[in-house]
Amino acid sequence: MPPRVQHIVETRFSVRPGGDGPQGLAIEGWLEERLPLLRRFCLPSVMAQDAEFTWLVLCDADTDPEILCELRGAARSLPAFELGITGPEHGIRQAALAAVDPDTDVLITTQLDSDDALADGCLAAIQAYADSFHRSAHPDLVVNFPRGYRLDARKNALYEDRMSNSSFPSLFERPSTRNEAMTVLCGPGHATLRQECFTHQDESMHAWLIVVHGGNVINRIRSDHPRADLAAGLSRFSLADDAVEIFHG
Amino acid sequence: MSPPRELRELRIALAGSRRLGCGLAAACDVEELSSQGWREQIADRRPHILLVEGGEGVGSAWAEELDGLLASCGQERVPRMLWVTGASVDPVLLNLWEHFDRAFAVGIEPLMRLIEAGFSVPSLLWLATALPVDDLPVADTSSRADSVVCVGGWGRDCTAEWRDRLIEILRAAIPHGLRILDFAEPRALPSDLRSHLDVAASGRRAEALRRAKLTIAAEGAAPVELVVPEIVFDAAACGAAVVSPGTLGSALDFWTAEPPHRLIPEVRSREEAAAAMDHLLGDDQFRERVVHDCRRVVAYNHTYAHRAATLASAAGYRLIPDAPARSAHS
Repeated sequence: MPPRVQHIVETRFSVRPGGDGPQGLAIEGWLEERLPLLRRFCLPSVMAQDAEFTWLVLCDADTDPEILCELRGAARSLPAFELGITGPEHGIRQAALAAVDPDTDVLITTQLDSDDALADGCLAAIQAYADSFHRSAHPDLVVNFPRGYRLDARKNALYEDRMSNSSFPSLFERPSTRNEAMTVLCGPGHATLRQECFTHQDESMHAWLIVVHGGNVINRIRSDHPRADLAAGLSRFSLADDAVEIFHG
Repeated sequence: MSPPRELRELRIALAGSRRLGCGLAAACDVEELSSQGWREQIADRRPHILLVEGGEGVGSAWAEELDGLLASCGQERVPRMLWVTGASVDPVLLNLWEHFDRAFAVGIEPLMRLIEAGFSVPSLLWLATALPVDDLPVADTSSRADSVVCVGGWGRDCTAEWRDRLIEILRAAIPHGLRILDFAEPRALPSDLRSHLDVAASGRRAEALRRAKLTIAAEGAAPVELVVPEIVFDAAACGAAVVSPGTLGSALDFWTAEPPHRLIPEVRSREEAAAAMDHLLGDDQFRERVVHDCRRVVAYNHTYAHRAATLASAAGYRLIPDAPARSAHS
């Protein structure tokens, strides 16, 4: 009998990493810049996924209602979209666990930052491991795709990237056999997650796109990132028409 | 892209093997091909992957046969992979770049050679351990018989810098008690170190590591960046702490965030080595924690079961690495 699988893509929108509450809104204009990036890159890449999943987008309760309204409007044609509200009394953990079906045999949670994108077919490729995981002896498992791209959105330049601890990990768990799921956003953080969990590195595809846009908290283009063909690389992703001008030039 | 195909066990046909055969055989079905009989071997048992090991030269027998082997597997749609397990790449392999579907290398230098030759974005893939990580109890290495063991040593083409650094680091270990096993160039050791050679223990690497509190990761010919020698993974599996004379590069694997510190100190002088060894050997609790964390990192990421699963994914299969027999926390 196939396992009951639930796949949740977890995205922090107006909640800063490591923070609950209004810290994420401290930088003026940060969210106004974030929304166009989500529209151009993240949202269309999620909408193009040919798999069954929930997209849980986490926002702080103090987020400007106009921003929330725009966010809901942008994702209105995506049935998988679910808005999770966090605040002092109801943090990321509670919001993430509220979306989990406790009767699920295999819970998959995938981290996706709101200014990045997933390659076409990525979620289906992740879900392809569900049966094997269910039959295995692993209490939990991380599946990471080390290959991806970095897009310098200011220069329309694409670079190969490789991270064995990418910011797009997928955590497989068995919520029906343990007290409480962890979910990928509530774990130790993608940088050290594979020190805590059995990890599989999948080399089958360039699975993700990190967009470097100047307002990134962490991501940069480094000198050791080899240049990649812009059109060929971005053809693996479904992005908005105005995402990269040269791509369509 | 066609959907991935599930595999229960990966079957690899391996050519030019020097070290991968033993390691991968612990994790999957490996058939080592002979340069004379590969046609019959592949016809008898079709592999999921053809893997060619590169690094120290393919040898004249394979140099003549590789072309045909790669062409035959290409026609049969058997994915053809190259894994460079040393610091250099045989030019014979570089000239055959068009015939490989994927390429991997253990470090930056060979990766650059592959890219320059025309390989399309080769990937970094370290060696691993074939030793069982979880069959040993984790706790209490304080009663181990040996303080410091050095297994292996500088190779034929080592740099003078590496040789001199290693000599000084070995000298730092002498006050603690030092055994040197399987040293590649024993006659090149100075006399004060030659007396610590243990020829009787030759070839018993795992046993030596299980008797030791600490090992010096001396394998290789140069302090090459982003090459993690196999001894690091084997030492972790056997519960021995590690001091590295070389740069291990991708430090997040062996770096803890809370509190922030390296699990494997990188030392470049006798003074640095002495300080690292004094700390690891003088504080049993600290060493136990380091050993425990290293074992966990290796159990979760760096066994040949992991490598087999990664190779399988590159070929379009999905295969989850084996779960350990017992939890790595036991």
